[in-house]
Amino acid sequence: MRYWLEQEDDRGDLLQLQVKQLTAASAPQAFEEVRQRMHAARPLVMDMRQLDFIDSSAIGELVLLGRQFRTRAAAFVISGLSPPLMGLVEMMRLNQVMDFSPDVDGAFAKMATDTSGADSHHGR
Amino acid sequence: MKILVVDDEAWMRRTLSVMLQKWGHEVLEAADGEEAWTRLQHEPIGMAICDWVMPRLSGLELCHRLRAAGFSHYVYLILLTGKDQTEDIYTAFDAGADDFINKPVNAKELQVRIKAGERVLQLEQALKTKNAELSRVNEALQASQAHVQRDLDAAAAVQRSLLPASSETGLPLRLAWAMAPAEQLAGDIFNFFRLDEHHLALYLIDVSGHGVPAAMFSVHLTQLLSPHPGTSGKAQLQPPTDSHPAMTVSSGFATAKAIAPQETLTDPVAVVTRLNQGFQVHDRNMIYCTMVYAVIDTHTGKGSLCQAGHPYPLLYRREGRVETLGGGGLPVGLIPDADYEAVDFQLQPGDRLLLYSDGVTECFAPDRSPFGLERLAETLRLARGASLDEAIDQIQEALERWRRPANGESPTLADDISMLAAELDAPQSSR
Repeated sequence: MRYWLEQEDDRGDLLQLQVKQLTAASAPQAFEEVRQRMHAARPLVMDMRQLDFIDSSAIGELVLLGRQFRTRAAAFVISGLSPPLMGLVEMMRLNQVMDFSPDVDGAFAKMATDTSGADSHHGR
Repeated sequence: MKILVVDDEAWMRRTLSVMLQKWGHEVLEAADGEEAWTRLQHEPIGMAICDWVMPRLSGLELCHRLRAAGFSHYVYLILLTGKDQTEDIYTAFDAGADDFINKPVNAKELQVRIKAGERVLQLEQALKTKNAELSRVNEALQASQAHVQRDLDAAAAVQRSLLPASSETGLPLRLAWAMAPAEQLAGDIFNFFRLDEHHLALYLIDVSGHGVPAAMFSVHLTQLLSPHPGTSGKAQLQPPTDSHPAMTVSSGFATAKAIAPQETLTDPVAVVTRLNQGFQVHDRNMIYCTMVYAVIDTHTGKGSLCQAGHPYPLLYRREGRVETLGGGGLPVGLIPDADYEAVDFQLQPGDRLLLYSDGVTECFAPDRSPFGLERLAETLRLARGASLDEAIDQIQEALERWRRPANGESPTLADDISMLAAELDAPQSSR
């Protein structure tokens, strides 16, 4: 993995983003690395606390990744986005189609709740 | 190989010539440096074996003259020297000799030194061939680059022609705008048009990515969102027809077939929803867009807009407040069944509505801090005494100041900057 550091965690896969920017140039490769970890039976957390800039093309790639996870019934949560980036997520309503959490613990807890309860996305 | 033997002693020339001919070379002779110089100038000679001490022009002087001349082909020069002439050898190499051989000449040694020389000449020839090939490729690339540049110029001109030409709509409101593309072709596009005697539609779209694909998509959207020419002012999303092949040909983007023929342009939510259904990203097409589409009743000041993944529109109130409109919304083309919301607003005469792309709020200072929404709102507020055109100019100037390093020129833009503003006139009866 070039863009992510894989952390040991018995609650699921934890990937920590190692770059500060995701753009049209880097996002396809960065998300392809995540795609390879896509597994229906194992929750995945993408820890993006390092990120300080994401361009429109990278957002498109992220949403496409989310759609592919949903198709495969695999779960992932993005954690640690900075307040300005969470502002962007809210402006684009991406929180309607993907899950976000302030931190890694919250992210794993969210997936534990979701798998025991109803799907939070109602078919989006 | 053609070898020139240069020696003032005839027996020496003969001896060398016989040896060289035996090894398969073509041999020419010269009795001194001057004669050798004449032959070298007029015949394609690859190698010269040259005595040091000669009348008229010495071997060393010939070296100097040959290297200074800069022939288009290389002449490999072997100097014949006496024994113990180490200092002379340094001088000879310095003058441009390639090799030397001591007299009396040992045949075996001469043969291997000639072979070494041949290898150098072969390399030189191969390099020359490669260089010629590179020059040809370079010329072809330059021609191709010029061709691409002409195409880009033409495409940019098409794009510019799609921007509003005049702010005259025949409706009681003023419009002003600004556009600064990051590259020659822009991904941002905006427009406005009169829907009927009262209503104006305006929109600003930011297509994801940059360059040709984004620009083509933006042009396509402009076509879709233009009022139909044959409906006497009643605007509608144009249906795919044979006379509008751009609508029916799938050019890598999704087709616009999902847009209903009778869909009017008067309902912002319907427009955005239809566009979203018509364009969806997939593995091979990652283009989507963010937009704000608004309709204003210029007689009542009532307005409605739909915000799709786009920065919050700003509403400047005449008394000096600035409000943000909308609560966010999904971009167009990312989620197939996205729901969009209408945001209603009320304009009073003198109020100003500002649509802008994220190139404005994400315009970075040299220290990477963004211009931001609050600074934009403040700049809009500070322009309260200015006309709408001047207000847009002032925002542009503020962005330029923000981008510029303390001492130096502004870097190229990272993203397109576009703005479209509307201000309601005072009603005629109240004047």
